[in-house]
Amino acid sequence: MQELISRFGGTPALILKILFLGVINAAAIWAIPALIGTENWVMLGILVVTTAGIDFFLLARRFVPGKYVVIGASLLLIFQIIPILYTVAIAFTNYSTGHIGTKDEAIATIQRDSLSEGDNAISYDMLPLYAEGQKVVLALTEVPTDTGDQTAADNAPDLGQSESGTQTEFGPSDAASPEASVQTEFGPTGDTASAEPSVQTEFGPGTDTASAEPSVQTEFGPGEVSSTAPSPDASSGTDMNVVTPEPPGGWPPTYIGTNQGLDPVPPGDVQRDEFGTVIGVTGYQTVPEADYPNLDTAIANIKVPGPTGGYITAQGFDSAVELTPTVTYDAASDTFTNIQTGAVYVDNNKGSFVNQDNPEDELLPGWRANIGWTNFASIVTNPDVSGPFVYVFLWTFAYALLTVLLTFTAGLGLAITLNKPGMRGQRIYRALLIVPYAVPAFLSALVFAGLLNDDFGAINQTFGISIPWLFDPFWAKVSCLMLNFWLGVPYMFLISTGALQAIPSELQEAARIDGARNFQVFRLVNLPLLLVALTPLLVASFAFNFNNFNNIYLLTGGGPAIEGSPIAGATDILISYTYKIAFAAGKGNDYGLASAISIIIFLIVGGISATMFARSKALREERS
Amino acid sequence: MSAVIEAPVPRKKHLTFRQWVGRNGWRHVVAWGAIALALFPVLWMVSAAFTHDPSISSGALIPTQPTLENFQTLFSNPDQPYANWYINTIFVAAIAAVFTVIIAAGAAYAFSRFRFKGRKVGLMFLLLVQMFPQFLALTAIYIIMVNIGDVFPAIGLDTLPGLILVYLGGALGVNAWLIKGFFDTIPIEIDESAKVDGATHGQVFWGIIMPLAVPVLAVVGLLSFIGTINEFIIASALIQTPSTKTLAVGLQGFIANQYSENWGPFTAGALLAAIPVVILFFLLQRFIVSGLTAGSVKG
Repeated sequence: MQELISRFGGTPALILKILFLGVINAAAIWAIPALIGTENWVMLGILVVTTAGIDFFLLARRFVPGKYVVIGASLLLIFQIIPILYTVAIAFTNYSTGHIGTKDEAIATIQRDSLSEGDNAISYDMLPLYAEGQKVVLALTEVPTDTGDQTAADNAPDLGQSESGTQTEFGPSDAASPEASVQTEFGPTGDTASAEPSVQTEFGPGTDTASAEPSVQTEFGPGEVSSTAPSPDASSGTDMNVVTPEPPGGWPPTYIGTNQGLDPVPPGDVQRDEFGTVIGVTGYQTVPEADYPNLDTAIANIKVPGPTGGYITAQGFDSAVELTPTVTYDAASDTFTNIQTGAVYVDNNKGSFVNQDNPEDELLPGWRANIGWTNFASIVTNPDVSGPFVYVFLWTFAYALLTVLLTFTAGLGLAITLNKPGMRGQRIYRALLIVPYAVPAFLSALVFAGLLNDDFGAINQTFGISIPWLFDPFWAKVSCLMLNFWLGVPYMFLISTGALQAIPSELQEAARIDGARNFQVFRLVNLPLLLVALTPLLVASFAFNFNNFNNIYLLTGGGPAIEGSPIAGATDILISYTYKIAFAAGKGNDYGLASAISIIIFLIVGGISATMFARSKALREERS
Repeated sequence: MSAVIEAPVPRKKHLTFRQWVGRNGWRHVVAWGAIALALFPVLWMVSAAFTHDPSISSGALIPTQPTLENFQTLFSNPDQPYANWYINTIFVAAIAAVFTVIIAAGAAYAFSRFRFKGRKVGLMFLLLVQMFPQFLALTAIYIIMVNIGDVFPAIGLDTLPGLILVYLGGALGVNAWLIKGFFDTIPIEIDESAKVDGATHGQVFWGIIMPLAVPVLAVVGLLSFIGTINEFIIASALIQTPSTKTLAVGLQGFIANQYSENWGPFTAGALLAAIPVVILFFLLQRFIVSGLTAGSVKG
């Protein structure tokens, strides 16, 4: 024994301990500045507490048990306890799609989203310019509201513009190719723009589409515009050599737009190409298109106060429109007012601005707010939630209970059948019977989904039937139970066999001597003893199946859908229903409600289990 | 005398069918029936793996023309890097199993051999916390992993070490209880005599207790290994890169909603995934059966 012990002590163990502590502390020290930099105080707190705890327990001479628990406890804290506490906190909020950010963010978003194109909104052709100090301003040229050639020529490129604008918005993080093509095509052009007006024409505002499609680019070659280019300019009937004449009423006015307002430009300072498009303003440098990807935000942030009370806002890179807000925010009273209807929206203390005369009328988005027990209450009172919840709740109980009953009955039956002294082939029978337990359960669930496939599934083919196993509410439930039965019987068989063999044979013999027949021996002697021994495992099995997400999700996905509920399916159990509420794509995420249901699941399972454990001797046996 | 001995033998030989069934025969019939049910899905899967386009074939249990083309298809699609999934899964499950055993055994040792303030509360707390399924807190776990990834990209979101850490968060609880139950049966006199000989608590733990507890450690390790292989939901939320996926996530994505297209390669993949687990299970079967019943039967 001495040798055995001495292997686990002394210098190597010390070195290991020092190495481990070194790595942990080095990592922590390295992370602290980064966490302070991002003002991530919660993470910083967790990091400091866990590192200090590990240091303290591993280095202190006292607190020996702490040394053996501290690492596991730290992991438990970070990845189990804190997430649970966080989940509990979320359950009392309205955290969901439309209630993600803070109130300030929500106010800003409402203001921005409420901007809309008024009936008399004026559209502008836009040209980004550099003012002094590389400050970006916009040259805005009114677009006449009549549908003349001019408008057609100007609107058409807008379509292409908006596409290319979308691409450049993603600029740096986007795939390399479109960006690279922008660079290579527009780079040299931008530099030579002022020197060569003809080149400028080709690449002037409105031809951004070329950046995405180099093939179009070639069509814009200098000599080809009039003949082959499907250019919008061609639709205006202009010939290359014919310069678009000044319209009878004169060129529409051009302004310099900044956040301060519109500043008219004298007509003489405006430079145009032969199609009449503004290409420059005296005193400003035209922004080379190569710079566009970097100016995305700068341009979008320019909100020019317009003549009708709204803000002229860029739409892509070559047009702008005046947008008028539909609601205004008053910081003093913390209300929004609808400009047209005069309706006043007040903070409802539940994370939304609602019409004070009609609480259903809500401005979106809201913000994340504490709403107390509302999520829990809605499970009972809100018919949209409570209807599916009751259905799912009952099925969950039925599913878990039936699974335990059916598998235990069959497993016990098998165990009794095979637990006969002197019977041949017991070992091989037992080995073959537990194969389903040995196969990873997720594979079994996926294989069963194929087995029960109504087209080629073995069940329908073998028996020549066509039962919609997975697409009918009833048969889908049967399928879920079949899968659980197949997976669960071997386990019940194993534990029943173990428990049967642990029953002292004297008891059975004594019963026989007293005149009991076989069945009586089983019912009066074996079964009570078995149940005493196996109840904790049966409760654990119930709890496991109550939360058996995998079997449901991988077999039926909770489906088929049931009427009246967009989320819950016929075979959804509470846990898969919760998962769908929180994460189902396309139906909105309601983390608050999902967390509330999680807590209810926890209380149900924990309550049942705690009661059973308290009644079993497991805890009483504790020496203290 | 010889007649006395021989007399029963002919009677046994002439056991009628009814008598045979009445004694043990029915047991064999039931056993074979149950075995047929137990093995049918497995055999059907194996058969499909070796069948050309099993989703339209007749469904014969023994393929008429066995082929390996499903396996070739499985490994030849770069969009479905099955080999990566396989290696990832074994890697995650093995590391998680080893550390689960060490962490849980450490806690079990502390709770079994030491008396300290908060011991009972700690034990109850472990049991209670375990009843809150980890993945119900998925939103929170996801946010924590994003934060960790910002500082330590190697163990953050979308990494296998990060996934292992999350799994280890649930390593205590039931496992510590199971191991503690076993430790409690090891006489404390053994520790004490070693300590008299000058052994430290660490030497007692690693040198005496752990070797004696190999059966229960094997059970915990294996159950953790299989549990990790089966884990679907956390992995599917935390892992996004195709080549970083585990088998459960990868195969589910591979087969979901495309049963008829991918059934053949899927069964091939499922077969390969099941083989090592089944082998391991049967090698350690002895321990598992005792481990499963230990907690209950004794209690």
